[in-house]
Amino acid sequence: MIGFLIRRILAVIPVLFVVAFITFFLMKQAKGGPFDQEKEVNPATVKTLNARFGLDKPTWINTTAVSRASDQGVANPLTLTRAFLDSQFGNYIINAVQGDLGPTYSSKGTENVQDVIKRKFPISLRLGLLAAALAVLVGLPLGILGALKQNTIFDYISLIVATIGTSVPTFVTGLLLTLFLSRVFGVKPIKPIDAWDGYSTAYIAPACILGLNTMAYITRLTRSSMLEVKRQDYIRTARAKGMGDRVVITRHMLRNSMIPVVTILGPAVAGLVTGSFIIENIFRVPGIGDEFVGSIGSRDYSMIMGATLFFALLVALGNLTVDVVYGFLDPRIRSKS
Amino acid sequence: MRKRMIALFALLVLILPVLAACGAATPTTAPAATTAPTAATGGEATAPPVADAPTTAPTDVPAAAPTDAPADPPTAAPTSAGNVLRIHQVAYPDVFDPQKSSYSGEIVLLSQNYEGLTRLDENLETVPAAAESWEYNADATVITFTLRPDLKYSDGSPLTAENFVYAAQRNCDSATAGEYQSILFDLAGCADFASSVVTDTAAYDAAKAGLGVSAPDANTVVMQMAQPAPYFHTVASLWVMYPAKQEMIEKGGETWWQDPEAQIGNGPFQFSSIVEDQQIDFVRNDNYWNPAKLDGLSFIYIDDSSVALEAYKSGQLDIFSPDPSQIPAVQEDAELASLYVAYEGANTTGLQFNTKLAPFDDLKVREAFAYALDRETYCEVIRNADCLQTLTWIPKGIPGYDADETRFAFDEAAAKAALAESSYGSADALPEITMMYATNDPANQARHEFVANTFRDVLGVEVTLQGLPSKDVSAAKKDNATYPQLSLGGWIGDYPDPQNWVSVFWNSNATFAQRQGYGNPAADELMKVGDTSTDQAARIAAYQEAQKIIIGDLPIAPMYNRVNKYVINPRVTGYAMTPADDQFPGQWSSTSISITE
Repeated sequence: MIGFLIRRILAVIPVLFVVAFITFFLMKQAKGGPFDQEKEVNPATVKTLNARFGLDKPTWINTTAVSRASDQGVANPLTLTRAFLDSQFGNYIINAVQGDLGPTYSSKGTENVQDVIKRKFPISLRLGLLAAALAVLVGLPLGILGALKQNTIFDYISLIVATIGTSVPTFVTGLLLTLFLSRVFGVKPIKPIDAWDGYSTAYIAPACILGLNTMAYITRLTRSSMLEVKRQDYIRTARAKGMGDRVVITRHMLRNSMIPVVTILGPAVAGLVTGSFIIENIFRVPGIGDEFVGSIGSRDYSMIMGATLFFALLVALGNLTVDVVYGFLDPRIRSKS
Repeated sequence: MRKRMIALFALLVLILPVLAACGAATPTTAPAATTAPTAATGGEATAPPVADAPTTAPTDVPAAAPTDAPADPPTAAPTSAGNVLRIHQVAYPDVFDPQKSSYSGEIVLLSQNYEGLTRLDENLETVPAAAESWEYNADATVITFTLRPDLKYSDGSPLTAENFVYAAQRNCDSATAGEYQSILFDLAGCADFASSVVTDTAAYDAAKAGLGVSAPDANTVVMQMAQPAPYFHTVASLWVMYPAKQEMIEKGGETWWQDPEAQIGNGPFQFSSIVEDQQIDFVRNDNYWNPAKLDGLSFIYIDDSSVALEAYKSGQLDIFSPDPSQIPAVQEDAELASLYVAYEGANTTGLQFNTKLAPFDDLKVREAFAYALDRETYCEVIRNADCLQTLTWIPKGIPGYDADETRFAFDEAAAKAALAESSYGSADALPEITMMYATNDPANQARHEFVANTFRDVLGVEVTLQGLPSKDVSAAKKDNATYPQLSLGGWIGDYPDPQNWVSVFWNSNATFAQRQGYGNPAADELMKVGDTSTDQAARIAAYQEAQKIIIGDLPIAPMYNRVNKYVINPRVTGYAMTPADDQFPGQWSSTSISITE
């Protein structure tokens, strides 16, 4: 098990590198730069800023620095390699490995990406975990009920909830809920400024909306997976043995139908805890989702890279957790690894 | 049957907590429920302001306090009414550091906390502020500011000429590299200092020493210009000259500006609390020489305009900035319509021609296209009343505005006549015409199609539309050789002096004019008078005359000014509405705003 974990954790490193490479490549394909504004910035200032942020360096490799160094008689291969990597991408990776994700351009370099993540991620994490808990706590029973009582009123209710959860976009449900709370219950849109500091009731409404989609997905997945397991031979065997309903359902059906649900939970939780631009805007949540989206429009290169890598890391961790949980659910998977 | 009941019950048990949870904790709603309807109608019905505020306050507190975990009652207070102006802002600012900020949402905060040597009054005239007077030398190359005696920061520490010298130095410093650094390039040595390399210590120090700003005594700031700049007293009012304290900046490091304790100001208000993405609060600065009437200001950040409108209606905001898409709904709403104000902003957009490219090298063709523009319909219908039409370059409200300009107003007959008089004679003889636009804003396509359709309907000219990403459009517009035949574009003012509008854009040696292939020696002569004379009235007259020549030459057919638009609670009074008030009405003269209960 420990060997498996170590192997899987090490495998995350090349994944992150590839993600970094692709993101960097795509980011550089987009026209414009972080210092483009509606009002033009003076070229002298842009030049200084580019130099400060290392944007005057070549994108991938720095051949000029290598030839300059070798002209000066530098023979140390380490120094030459460093000169070769004195590029935007090379410097980014070297700093990132040391935990420095670089200054954000939108703050004019006054803040580092890791500080922004450190400050804003806890809020998104709290919101995302609540949403995930809600999705599981409601989605799972709804799905089970739908499968056990197939084609009855319960099944239809579960279907309706799931359909609404998947098909109505969050900017509609979120706004409707905000207006509903404000007009009917007098819960006004502007919350006290410290409402987000720890867990508070302010999180509930956005968590409901954020978790809606995942909840719907879990409901449907649980239902279809339960229905499939229900028809398996071993269930018939269990029943033939004279096992009670409760034991058959919890021990045999539920446990075996959990595999697909657990599979999607890893990436889903990673997605939930990284926040949603739309939900953050509607409920005024000071989370990280806004940074993810905003950075692309403003060509905040370091924030784009930092956010993408952070998200990739979370997804990788989510998948790793899923793989570990598999082992508990299905011994066959454990023996293979 | 019994099983079925149990299952149904189970389902109910499952769904109920969710509904209840989403409906916010039940105990919270109990006390609020009774007051809520009153508050809602109070807000919507624009009931007398007296009735509005008290209803809001009690609703707010019980609803907010439990949400907020009752541990910390004082923090629940900021959204309650009282003598604090609650202003809706859309996007939370990226950085509010006087020498680094560049967006108006950032500058509005700084302008409450600080004050430059001069300031803008409710007519956008430049008036004494930290400096009680200023004087130019004969050729407007030296300006001497005399500070008010005994100026103090909000913490009681003295404010002296050195603090302003530091502001100018920090702005021109290449180590700062604020995006508005070039606005002080008229200051001798500023451009050199800005392009100096920090690591080259000797050259950097020499450039720093060469900067033409000094404080011969504690009450005098002397600025040496690189060339005559008789408008520089207006530049001295800008945020780049706000005297943030050197020791605070050095102590606080790069993120000093995030700490309200470090933002010790000399303006009418003082930062008191900064909560990222939520709210920024100010209290009145009693050390300010002209104390404000309000107790404080709250800038409340709400990205979603529908949520912001709901917050306004439920009495949580005094000033609401509607999204352009909400204007029709606001104007049709019986209560909101009377509280809605819209006025020209400090920007002008028009139909820009490449005057070196056929057919627009022919003035008559440009005239035909200028006459063909139905600006009013464009603003009212296509842009949802997000703009007001204009026929001149400098917007209404900014010194130099020409209220008498009536040339090239929408006139189909004149448009046809001008085209017939042109060297081409008719629409059929015109070469192919392409109009370039940026596709980033999805609304742009409809806007440009309207303009193109106008030319087809009025002149019988087919204009091809070319939609490109905005970065490509701005790249093409950086050089006359690639400048599109037709495009919409214009200028956003930096400071309310006609020099910023006329000379900076239309002088034949200005990059903007050159890109369009424009230059007129007669206009240049007049601009020279404006750019060098110390007689302010003569300057304005010269620029106005230059503006008349430029409009006659039609490098651009002015179309509209985008508006500043707000819904304002009637309890707020005493606010100005100048084009520069683009974040809230009265932002540049906030000392005179008051709230009547």
